[in-house]
Amino acid sequence: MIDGVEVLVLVADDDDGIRESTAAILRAVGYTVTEAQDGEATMAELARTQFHVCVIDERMPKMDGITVVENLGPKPPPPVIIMASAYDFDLDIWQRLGTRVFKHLPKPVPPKVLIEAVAEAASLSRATPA
Amino acid sequence: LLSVSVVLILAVVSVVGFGLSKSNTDRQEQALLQSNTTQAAAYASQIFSGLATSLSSAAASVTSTNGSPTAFEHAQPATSPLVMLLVRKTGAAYVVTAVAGGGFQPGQVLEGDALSTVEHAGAKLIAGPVDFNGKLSTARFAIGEPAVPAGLVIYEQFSLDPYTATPVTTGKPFEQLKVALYGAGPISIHNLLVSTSSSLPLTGPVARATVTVGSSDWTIVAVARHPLIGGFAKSSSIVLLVLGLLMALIVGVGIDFLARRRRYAEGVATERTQELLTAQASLVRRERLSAVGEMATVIGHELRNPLGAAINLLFLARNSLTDHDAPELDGYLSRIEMETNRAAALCEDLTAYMRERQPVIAPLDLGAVVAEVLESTPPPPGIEVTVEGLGVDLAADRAQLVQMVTNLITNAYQAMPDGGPLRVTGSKSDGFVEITVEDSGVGIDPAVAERLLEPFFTTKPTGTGLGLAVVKRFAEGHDGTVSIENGPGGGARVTIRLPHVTPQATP
Repeated sequence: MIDGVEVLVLVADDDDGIRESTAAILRAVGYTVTEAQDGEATMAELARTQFHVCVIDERMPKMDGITVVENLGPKPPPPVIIMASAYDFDLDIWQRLGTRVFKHLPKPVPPKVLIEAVAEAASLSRATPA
Repeated sequence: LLSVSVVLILAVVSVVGFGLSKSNTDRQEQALLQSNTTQAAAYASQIFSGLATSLSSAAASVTSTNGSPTAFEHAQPATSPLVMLLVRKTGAAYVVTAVAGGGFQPGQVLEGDALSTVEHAGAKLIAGPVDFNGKLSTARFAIGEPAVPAGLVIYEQFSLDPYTATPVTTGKPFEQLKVALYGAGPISIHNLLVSTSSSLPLTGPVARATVTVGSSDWTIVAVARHPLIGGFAKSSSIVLLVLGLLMALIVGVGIDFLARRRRYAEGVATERTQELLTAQASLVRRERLSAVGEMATVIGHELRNPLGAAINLLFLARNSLTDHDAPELDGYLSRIEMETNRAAALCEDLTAYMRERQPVIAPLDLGAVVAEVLESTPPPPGIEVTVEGLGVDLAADRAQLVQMVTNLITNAYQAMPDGGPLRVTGSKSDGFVEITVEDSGVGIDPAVAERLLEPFFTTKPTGTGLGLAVVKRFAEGHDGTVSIENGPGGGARVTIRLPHVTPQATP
């Protein structure tokens, strides 16, 4: 619960260590966190639940993070996307995704940076009328 | 040295050639001179044999008139330089019986050279002494019995200026010669008969030949007016010498020039070889780097996730341990965090250096970037960081800028193990934004300043040598530069210059 409101966050990463520790940090802050371990699972979770924020790894098996973002429909309002990228993401992808990605964070993402980014995304999501 | 010895050898060869050629031409010249002189002598002999004939015919007329002097009376006018006498031997004396020409009287007793001439007269013409009194030269001839009746002698003499041309000296063989004709006896000015040269004795290569006058021998001495074998042949040896010396000089200069060129070419070749070796070494190193780089990229990439997880878990551990009774644990955790961050930074460097990507330029807040870096890599105790001018307007790739500043600040920390001030400055000039990180350590060795920017070059006992190389690569990716030097305080000062980009709408 953040300020008495439940904020739903989806953490998608194929690396168990990263995914579980990231989820644990966000849970400790007070978010309600769901985990997904590949692109298809992410798509399934997104279809099932309307998340406020999605922290998604750029590279995942089955379907990568970029494809997931590109496949998000305009409604229901999609979650605010934070993409954790390998350092070497390229300009083409950046341009293709445009404003659909709220923030690109280079991996490894320091916990403080993560927390701040998610907080910003959450407030953006909550300001957007559902 | 080679050119000098070649010049010497060629010079010696041309001098020897000159000598041989000259002695050869001299020999030929002398042979020609001798041959011409002999020819001249033969010509002169022929002229004098005509004299003998005229005297013989005079003798014949004397004989036919049985010694009568009348044969002489019309032979020569009294003013002629040619005098002919009929002389009768009277006891020991010779008395003039008849005279043709001037200077003698009938009844006169002969004496002196005339006497010594008639004394030796015989059947064949003889020449008496020739004498030159400084003005005129006189020649004497006589013929006696049995050409004339017994007791009679025909005597003839004539005088001439020896330097005036005569039939003897104007004939063909004399054109090329200077000659002097001397009477019998030693060759001396006193018995000079004729000369075509006013300066006697003749000098230079001379030839002699005998002129037969009746039964007497006169001598002709000659030198060549001009080289008999021709001016060119005569001078060919000197021409040869000059040409030889000239050639020696030219060859010497040529060799010297070639030697210089060769030395130059060798210098150039050495230089090129050195460049090639350097290039090869650099290529080999790059090759190795690229192999190492492949590996490093894979490792860096694969380590990123476990390190990220470890960092996250440390964060969680620290939050879970807010209330504990082991004070040293905080220290341990801090230390683990630091080491893990170091490992993460290394992974960043490895992957960042090896993977090229276009920077994503966007306007950013340099102050925020520096603050972020200082927060993630806080200064060790003792180091005081001061910032200045960070409000400068800047557009760059944020992630790359973060890493550049991180690397510079980390280097600065390591350069100051004993602490001290560290300055991070931003400024703008000439369309460039400069970010300067200046430490107060011992500074850098200027000799290796350039190499410090090469990958894997390090002066630190522990370091990958990638930090500054990454900074350089990123700066260049921004069309910027990195320079490293010692600041006025003696510490190292690294400056990143990035072109000032007018902020554009983010795509």
